[in-house]
Amino acid sequence: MLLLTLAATAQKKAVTGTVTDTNKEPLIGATVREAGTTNGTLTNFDGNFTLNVADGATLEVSYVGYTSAKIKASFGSPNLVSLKDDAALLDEVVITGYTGTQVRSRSTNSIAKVDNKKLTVGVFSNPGQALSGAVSGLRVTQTSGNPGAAPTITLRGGTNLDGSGSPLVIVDGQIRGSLSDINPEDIEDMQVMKDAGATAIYGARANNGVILITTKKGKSGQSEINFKAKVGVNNLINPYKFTDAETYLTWQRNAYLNSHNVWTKADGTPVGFSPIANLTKNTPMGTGNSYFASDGKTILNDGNSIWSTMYLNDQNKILLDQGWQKMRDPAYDFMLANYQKPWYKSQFGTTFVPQEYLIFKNTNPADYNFKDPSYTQDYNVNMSGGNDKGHYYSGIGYNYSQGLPINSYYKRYSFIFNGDYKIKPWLTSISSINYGRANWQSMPGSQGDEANYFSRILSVPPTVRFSNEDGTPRLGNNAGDGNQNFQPNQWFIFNQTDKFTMNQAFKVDFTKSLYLRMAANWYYSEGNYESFTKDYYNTPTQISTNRSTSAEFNRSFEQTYNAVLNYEKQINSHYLAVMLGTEFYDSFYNGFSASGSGAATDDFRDLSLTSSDKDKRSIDSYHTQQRILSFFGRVNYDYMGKYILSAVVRRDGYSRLIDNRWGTFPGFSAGWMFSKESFMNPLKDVISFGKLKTSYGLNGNVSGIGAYELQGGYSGSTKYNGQSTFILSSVPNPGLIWEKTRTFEVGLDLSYFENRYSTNFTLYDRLTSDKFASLSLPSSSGISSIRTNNGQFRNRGLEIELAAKPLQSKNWNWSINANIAYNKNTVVKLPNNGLPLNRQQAFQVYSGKDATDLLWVGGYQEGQEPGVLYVWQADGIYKNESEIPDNMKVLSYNYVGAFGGPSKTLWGKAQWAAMSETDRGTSNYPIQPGDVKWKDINGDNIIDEYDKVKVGNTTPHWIGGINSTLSWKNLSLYTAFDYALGFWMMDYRLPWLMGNMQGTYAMPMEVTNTWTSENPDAKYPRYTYADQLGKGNYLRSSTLFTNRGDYLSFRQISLTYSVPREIINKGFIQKLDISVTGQNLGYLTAGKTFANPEKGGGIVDAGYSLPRTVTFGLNISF
Amino acid sequence: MKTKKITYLAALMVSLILTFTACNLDLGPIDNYGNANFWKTLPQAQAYVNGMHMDLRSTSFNRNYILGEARGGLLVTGNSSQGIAPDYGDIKKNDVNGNTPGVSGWVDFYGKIFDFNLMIQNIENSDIHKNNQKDVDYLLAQTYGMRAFYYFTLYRTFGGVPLVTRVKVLDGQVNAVDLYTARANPKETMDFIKSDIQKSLDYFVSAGKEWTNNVTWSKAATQMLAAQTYLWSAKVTLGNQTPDAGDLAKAESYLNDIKNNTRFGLLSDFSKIFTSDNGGNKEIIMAIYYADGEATSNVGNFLYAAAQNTFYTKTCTKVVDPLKILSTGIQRNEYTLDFYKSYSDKDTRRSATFMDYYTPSSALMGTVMKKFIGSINSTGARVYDCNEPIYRYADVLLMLAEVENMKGGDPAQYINQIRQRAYGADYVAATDAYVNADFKTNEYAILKERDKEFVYEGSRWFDILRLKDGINGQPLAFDAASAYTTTPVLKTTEKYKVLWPIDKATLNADPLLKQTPGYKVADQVEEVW
Repeated sequence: MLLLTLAATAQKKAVTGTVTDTNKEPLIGATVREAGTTNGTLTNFDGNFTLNVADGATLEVSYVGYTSAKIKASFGSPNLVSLKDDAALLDEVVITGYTGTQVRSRSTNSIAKVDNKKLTVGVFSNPGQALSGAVSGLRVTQTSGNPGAAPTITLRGGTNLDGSGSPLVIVDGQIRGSLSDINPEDIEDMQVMKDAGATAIYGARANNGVILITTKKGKSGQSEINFKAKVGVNNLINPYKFTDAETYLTWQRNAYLNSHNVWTKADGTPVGFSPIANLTKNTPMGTGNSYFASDGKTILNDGNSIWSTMYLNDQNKILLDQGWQKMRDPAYDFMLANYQKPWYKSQFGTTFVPQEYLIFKNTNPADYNFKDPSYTQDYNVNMSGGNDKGHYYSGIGYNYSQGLPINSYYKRYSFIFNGDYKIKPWLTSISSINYGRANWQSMPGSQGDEANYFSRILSVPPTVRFSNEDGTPRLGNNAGDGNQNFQPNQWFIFNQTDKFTMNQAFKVDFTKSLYLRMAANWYYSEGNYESFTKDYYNTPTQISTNRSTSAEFNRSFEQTYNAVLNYEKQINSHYLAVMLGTEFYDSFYNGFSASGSGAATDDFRDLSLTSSDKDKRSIDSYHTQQRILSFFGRVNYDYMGKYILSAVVRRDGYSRLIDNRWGTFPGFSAGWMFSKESFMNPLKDVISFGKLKTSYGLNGNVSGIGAYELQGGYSGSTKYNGQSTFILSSVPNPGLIWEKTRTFEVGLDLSYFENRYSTNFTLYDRLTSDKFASLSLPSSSGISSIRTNNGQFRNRGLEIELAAKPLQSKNWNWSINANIAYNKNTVVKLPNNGLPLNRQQAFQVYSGKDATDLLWVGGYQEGQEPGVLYVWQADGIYKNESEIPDNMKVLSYNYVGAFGGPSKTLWGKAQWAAMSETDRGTSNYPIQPGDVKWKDINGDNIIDEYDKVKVGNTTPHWIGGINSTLSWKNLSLYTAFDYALGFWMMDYRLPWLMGNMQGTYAMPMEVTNTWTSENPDAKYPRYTYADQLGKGNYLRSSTLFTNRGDYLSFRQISLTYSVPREIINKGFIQKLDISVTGQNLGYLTAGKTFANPEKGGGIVDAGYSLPRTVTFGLNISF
Repeated sequence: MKTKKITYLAALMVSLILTFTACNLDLGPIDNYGNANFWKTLPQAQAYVNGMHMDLRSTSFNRNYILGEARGGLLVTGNSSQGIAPDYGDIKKNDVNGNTPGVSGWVDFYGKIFDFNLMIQNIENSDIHKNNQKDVDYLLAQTYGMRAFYYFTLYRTFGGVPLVTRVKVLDGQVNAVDLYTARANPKETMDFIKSDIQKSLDYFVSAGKEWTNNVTWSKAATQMLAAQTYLWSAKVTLGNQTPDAGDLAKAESYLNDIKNNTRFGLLSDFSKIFTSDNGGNKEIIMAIYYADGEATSNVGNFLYAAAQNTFYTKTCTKVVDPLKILSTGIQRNEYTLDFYKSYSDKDTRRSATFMDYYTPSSALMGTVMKKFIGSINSTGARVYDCNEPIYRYADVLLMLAEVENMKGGDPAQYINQIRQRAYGADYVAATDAYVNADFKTNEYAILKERDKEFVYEGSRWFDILRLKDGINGQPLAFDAASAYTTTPVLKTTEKYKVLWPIDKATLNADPLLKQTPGYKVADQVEEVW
């Protein structure tokens, strides 16, 4: 053995050389290999190499991002190899499904590759978060800063009437429900298939496009170990700024005063709607709170001591030394003047005497409820290697991301193994295992709603006492809204999912051009959820001992088996590739859940300890099975690489459907690479590449339909007289058919100046027919609505991509990519329901033509774009008495049905004056200065439900992204922006806060811009007690709170430094990069109070803003 | 070699395709019945009819109270005597109109009618029917009877209504246009109800079975429905639905059938009719079944709230939670004091129906209704588990009185049977007995007896529409005395209010549907009857 080796070595001779790029810059770490062997080396930091090779050997030189070169080894002089920059965009590989690939220049479809930078810069708990602005036509809306949240992704406007519809996610051939819990580090390649000419190969599941993810594999002749660490610091962004306690007391106490006396009766009795007595009670702005018990020493912790507001007295003035503040009571003058009048005596009590000064403590609830900053950690180690026989890749990763609400986090563990081995010359075995575990808690257990956490509990009045002067924590008003940090551990929450993918494939090579690939994919995913509530203080004195506990376990096992036969042949100028395949899919989902309460103690969550009394426990188990059988095929043909044709077809059978189970989905595409034509030769220096392409295809859709939904259901229900009952629980609907989506598109790809600049233009038209939608039926049918194949829906748009490398010099490199997409959705056809435009869920507004002419707007109507926002128009505020019209009736914001409370009507000056006190009652008020001037569209001097105006559509028409990489020597600066334009939103939460709709809670700083007699030019109406019980100035959805939704997000800015080789080489290190990245740095947008400007969709509540993150990263390769 | 390879390959592909093709795509629900495996056995059909009874229970409050009582003028419309804002204030004030219709979507009755139609469609003349003729005939007798019962309630509430007898959505592709159904005119509606009643009775005969128990639809229940329907038909005119010569006689004959049925009779003690432990008594012909753990009723909203509510009795004794409500109720509905005061001191029904309470100075302050107060269960909690009668024997007698009055006869004997039971031992025929008088006086005597007898039994509103001030006169709803005050329940200028309006959403969802006459708002179209 030794002899043989020596003999072999003896025949070899050393060659030396240098590898550079076309600018003569040395390429460090380029692979130099003796062709046909595994013998090879890497270039050093000067681009030099030395290798022992056989006489007459050929050297293969390759480097990522450059075209490989082969040269005959020269032994005398150094071998100088200059590698050409790869025209990356054109020669990258496009994945076409079922292991099919194509070079981009020959592709006739819209398949976009996500720039790997997107996935590697910054830190993400799932790859969805990295997709904003990455691909033209792909709208990625991140609407929660929760680290475990996956964004909503829609392609080209979505195929559903409401603009929803997410692409199919396929990871190594396995369909996944979403991008959640996938480690971005494991991704080698991520592509988005857009047109049906390509997606037809995925048939019935792909009408909203396909996101194809390929995980990393080992490469021949390259062995390495990578270690990557990232640490991120996340900061809270809170769009609502709340007042401090002093400002709060000023506005809130005045609000109670102004709202209790909207008008005065002849006998002096005030008529209004605020409970003015609360000013002296134990309320946030009331003076009836206590600090000490009656002994003057004991510090209270009960319902009388939740709030700090009190009259200043000798006993409590020592608190001024402990951080409490004092102020003159803004209500003092009024109270002094009135407290002895009979009406006020009956409110405040006979013994009440007003005092001049208030004492209070200022608390900022955000200080208690958030972990700000929170930290993110992300670690990955991966190993890879390979030779001619086999390849190997393995990686493990760990991500721990703290959320901003206290006690919240997301944790992901991942492991991946990809290996293949050539067992026989004609047989390759390919195996992979992918495992991911996620654990999370989104908020403390006392909370269930992000909008609430990020608005309501922050608006707890700043006079609340969340801690004593010695630092002892206090609950505040109650468990739901109070100090979340008081008892967070009284809620046990456990959420876990485990997802395994196991793939085994065999590739059988019959001849060089014919192979069969058979694969089995098993996807096993489990969810395990437990929650348990220990005894907790619901209020400072009341302990909740319900001890409810619940557990759920579910599991799905999905099996996919497929066999694909591939044939490929180049005969002279003709290239032909044929693929035929069949696939069977079976999924079985089952689980059980149980819950109980009333355990004897609160120490254990064991369900067996819960009370076994009647109705204290509930249990359930559930099962679902589904199957899909498919046959598919594809033919690619081209002539001289100039004329390209491609056809695919798939036939799917779904167990979910009954009478119309089978569907066939074809797709065709064609391309003409006109830059290869001789007539283009004169332009060659300018247009280096040109291709015209078109595609047409059909997809189906059955998503959103339950496995057995169409079969209807008869289920047992409550007993009657002790006997079992059955009733129809869901209506059978066997006739439902496939939704069909056909896409037609035309595209033009052009590159200029040796591919330094390139542009792609794509026009598409996607028409979905036989849409599923719930159709409202007449009540007399006995069913309110049923799912039907409901008409047609169109997405139409244009996508433009630009790529440029404006700088390419020795030290400087700059590349920039940008995309912009326009999309408009139109409802083309709705089922005939006898109404004009077959409208559904539409409502009426005045046209303004005359006093009574009404238009049907909104909802879904044929020929219209869905999703328009209609609200009442606020034409400013009545500044003073003289502006109030004599004749104007403002009806309650909605009609109050039989079960609602009384509604209020507002009246103009003359009308009001003419009304008797009895007629006025408590449900009529005068219009007064500080009320909103509503626009009377039809001019009848009545503001009713029809006086609304169109604000605009609620989904962006334009979306896109821009990213750029600028590098100088070893420094590289990466920036990414994305944007959406052309839509409107209305803030739901700001009017709730400013309308004081809780009745006592704090107001945002915008309150200083509300009408008062001193500030008559203010933007907002008068601040009152509970606006919904009063005049509805804030409650009515109006233009006061609408904004253009257009935004530009500063998504990422990252600076990377690659430590030069001469410094690191001594430690066996191949590569060492350090980086600092800012993520989600902010938005440029008009609506400053929107927590998540990306959300869209009309009226938007508060929410969990994406945190501003700064991440430090370290990459080491050995 | 090459041919061999290709042969292998071909064999492999064929076997793979065969393996896959053999996979069955016909999967059925694992946890419940689907359409494919229901309606296959008799027990399924029987359990389905049990389900219909459960529906009857879930619609009971709306049918009984909202439609049958709330508009009758006997309920407090402002805050209650305990200061609680009322439920259904607009309805109680008869303030219903096209904008605030009070009820919506036909009170969801068509959702229940759907179930009857589904049963008839799947079972009548099916194999199960053929193989179990008598058993299924009995089920169909109940089904037709209950369907007629819903349609009769709809008729009395809205007049002519859409007559839906088939579940069209199961016939294939669904299209809203095919489901649009205009309102039938009043006569068509009434004729349809009568024909369903006849089918029910015929099936009871062919089934050879007419009774299970008094909480399950029976032949007697259909007979009561028939009597009510024909009496209505004989007395109430609506559009082209005018009294027919034979209506009254038919009503009388159905009433006599029940009167002669030895299974039923009057209990001697009024208060024993409704108690939780006496559900099976002979006075109940048909009732809704309630039981702790299965379902309980809504009467908590006719009582009072917190356990600490204190009341003064007439003799100034202070009592806390006198009825042991244990914080399960609230006073959202209260009967008027004017009505309460109309009871004679001798009348045992007064204290069986109401608890009266007073101000500290002994002035009558208010009442709560305790008629269906339920019981205290094994864990010591108050549960509202009294069965709620749909038909009972007292109604037979009082309807016979009405027939008698229409015939010009003497209704007193029937009224007095009821009154005698009510006054018990205190009854003195000479002073307490009713003596025949003119038509209107007789009608009022019957109404006032009915009012006292049937509190919260879903009768009052329909009574003031059926009882009249003359043989061809106006309903007593327009007569001041009917409300125990000086104001009539309905103004004579609002004759259309004998029916209810249709809500906008229901009208908008069906272009063939027209508004109830008198109620149109904006550009709505009204029926012309």
